[in-house]
Amino acid sequence: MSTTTDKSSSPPCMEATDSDCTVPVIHIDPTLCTGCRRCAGVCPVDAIEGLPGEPQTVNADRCVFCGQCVQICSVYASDWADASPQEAAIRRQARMRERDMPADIGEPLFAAYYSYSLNKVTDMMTKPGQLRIVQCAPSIRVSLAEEFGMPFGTLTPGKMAAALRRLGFDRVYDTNFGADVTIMEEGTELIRRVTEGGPLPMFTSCCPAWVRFAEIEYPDLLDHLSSCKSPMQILGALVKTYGAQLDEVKPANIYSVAIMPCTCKQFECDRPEMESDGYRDVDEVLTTRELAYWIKQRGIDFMNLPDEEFDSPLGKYSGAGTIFGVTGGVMEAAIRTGYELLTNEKLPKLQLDFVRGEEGIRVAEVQVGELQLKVAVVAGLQHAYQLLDRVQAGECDYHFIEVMGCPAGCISGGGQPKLMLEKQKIEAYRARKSSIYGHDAASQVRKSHENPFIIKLYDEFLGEPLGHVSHHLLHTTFHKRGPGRQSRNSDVSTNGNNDYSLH
Amino acid sequence: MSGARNMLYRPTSRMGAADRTSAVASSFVVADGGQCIGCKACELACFAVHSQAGGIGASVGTVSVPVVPKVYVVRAGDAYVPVQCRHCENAPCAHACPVQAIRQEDGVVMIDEERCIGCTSCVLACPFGAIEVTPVYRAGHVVTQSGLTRHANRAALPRTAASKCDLCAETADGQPACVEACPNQVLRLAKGAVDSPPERRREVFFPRL
Ligand code: SF4
Ligand code: SF4
Ligand code: SF4
Ligand code: SF4
Repeated sequence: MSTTTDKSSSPPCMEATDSDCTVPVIHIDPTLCTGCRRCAGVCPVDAIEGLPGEPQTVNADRCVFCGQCVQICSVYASDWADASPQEAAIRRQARMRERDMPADIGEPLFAAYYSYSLNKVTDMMTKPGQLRIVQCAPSIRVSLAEEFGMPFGTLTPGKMAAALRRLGFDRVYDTNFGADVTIMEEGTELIRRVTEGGPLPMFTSCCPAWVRFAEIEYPDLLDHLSSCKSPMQILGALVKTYGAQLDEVKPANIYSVAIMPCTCKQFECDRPEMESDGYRDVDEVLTTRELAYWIKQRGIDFMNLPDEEFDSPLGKYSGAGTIFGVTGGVMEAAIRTGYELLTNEKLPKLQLDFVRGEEGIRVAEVQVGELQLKVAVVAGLQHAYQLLDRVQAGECDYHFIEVMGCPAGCISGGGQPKLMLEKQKIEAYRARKSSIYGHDAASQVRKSHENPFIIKLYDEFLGEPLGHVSHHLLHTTFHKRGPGRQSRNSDVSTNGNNDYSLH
Repeated sequence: MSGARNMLYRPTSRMGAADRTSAVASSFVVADGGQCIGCKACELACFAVHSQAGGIGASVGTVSVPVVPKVYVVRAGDAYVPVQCRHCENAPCAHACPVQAIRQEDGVVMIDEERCIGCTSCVLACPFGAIEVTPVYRAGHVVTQSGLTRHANRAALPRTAASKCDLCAETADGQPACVEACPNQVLRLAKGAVDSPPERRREVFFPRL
């Protein structure tokens, strides 16, 4: 494996003015924000700046777009702030326009919000002569129904596929398939690094908020990240190549949308390197909440839809692909495959409970043949600092580390249904999580390398993992986006929400 | 207000006892001055638990009506203060209500939305500004007032009713939703006790002071 940091295209002088800083994803409405700074309390990178009691701002250079601030903000636009209901309605419409929200959505507007893409997507959907393709992340199917009043964690893959067809998509594919490919590539990469002495520990690279975090805070460790694109980008790249071949369409005529639990995925999809042969891997990303807006806007009776199948082959997934939606899932999926590829023996126990906890950092040792594999799982970026400082100091002898930006993995992402009662979050996360594990347990195929459509993909198209085609389509590079945490700590010692007391 | 009218409409059941003894000390939610950060989590929680019957679920995506809480966070100079009903023992709001829509049940001063005519007498009488007259929503839609239309375009007008803190009488299990939701422990339920003599109320209500 060559080094994953593309130094030539990222000279150090570029770092502070990287183009991504001009498109902030997370916003705080200064006319609403009361300066309670609860958002600052959950922000893992101290990106929220301002005095208590004053409107806050988001420092886009530091923000990793995880959307946890959007999830926690409880300050909403109150009708009582306006002189009359008519005035309140006019103000509301103005705010919705400013946020590019569909006009007929009734939900309250909160001070912290993220950029919406739904209007862009609905405009594009009407363009004739294109094959409209959609993919859905593993965690959407366990949370979408909550937007329609169903209990936490209600599992609805079939209704989701049916809804997406009714919204006008010609192919309903699945990011879970991309996750299965990730495991093939990332697992092989890990084995190669362990046996050939590549930079270890190797970090997962599926969470864009984590990738951005590493680029901003620990740029010197970027060659520790797996060079794999995220499952969303991998599936996107396959849709416009392998998928295009199967459908006999030109990649230029494919419009590819992804439904994601995450507010950082649009940023990832817009990264210049996320394209193959001049075509964007994914054209547009919608969050779970945006998909719910769309379904409501079109008057689709979601809960009474029939269950429909995902399309083949890029919608056929294994249980291992499914569990990518929870913290520890990538690790578990990787071990299920890595173990068997390395030892040529069946994994004795499929359910790997040691990675399934709720703590911010979990560590374990797994005997894989001769090798004592040391792994760690990080959930929530605030827990990553400590571990990364140890890697930086050369004191961390783990082989493989999974990092997810959000507290319980993608099921708790910034684009997931927002709850009115903070205390229900834990309950919701647990229900979504057990629903994902249940979906895995009910799958016939539970290991990525046993997914017949994955086997076919490698036979017919990719060749071998980390082969020439994979390398071209499915792997990427990362960029330094700042001087890193250590230098920042030494010159800007007073930055951070801990320096503000609320009273 | 005519005494005769009062006699005529006064329900005899529970009210009589409470009136005579005044031994039912009211419970109410009290705020620790100066600790409120203005996050409105209490307002949102209040709206959430009072809307469950109206088909609103846990996620904000299920909300299709304006958020109408029964506690109001107001800014006073540099500080925020949550304002809600104190469940006065001789509730002036009830005294002002011409149709006896306000009654006291086990120390909780409650407004009967069905009976309320939205005359705002209680709003004016309340010394704390704890009452708002708000449109009534059912199952995600505003209820209209039959017989009353806007003169200009004959559009139906919403039915309105007085709304204020009911200590989550019908919803939560003991703990008011706002108290539970507050991230800063600003709010506390001062619990009145039926048998506490008036001179001991301060200790009962404010054990920390
Ligand atoms: S949580 Fe909301 S209201 Fe509070 S400071 Fe943050 S953006 Fe402002
Ligand atoms: S999106 Fe995440 S990183 Fe950005 S300000 Fe919000 S909490 Fe902080
Ligand atoms: S509404 Fe006002 S007057 Fe009536 S009981 Fe509550 S605080 Fe007292
Ligand atoms: S929840 Fe607590 S801190 Fe927040 S506004 Fe209400 S009383 Fe104040």
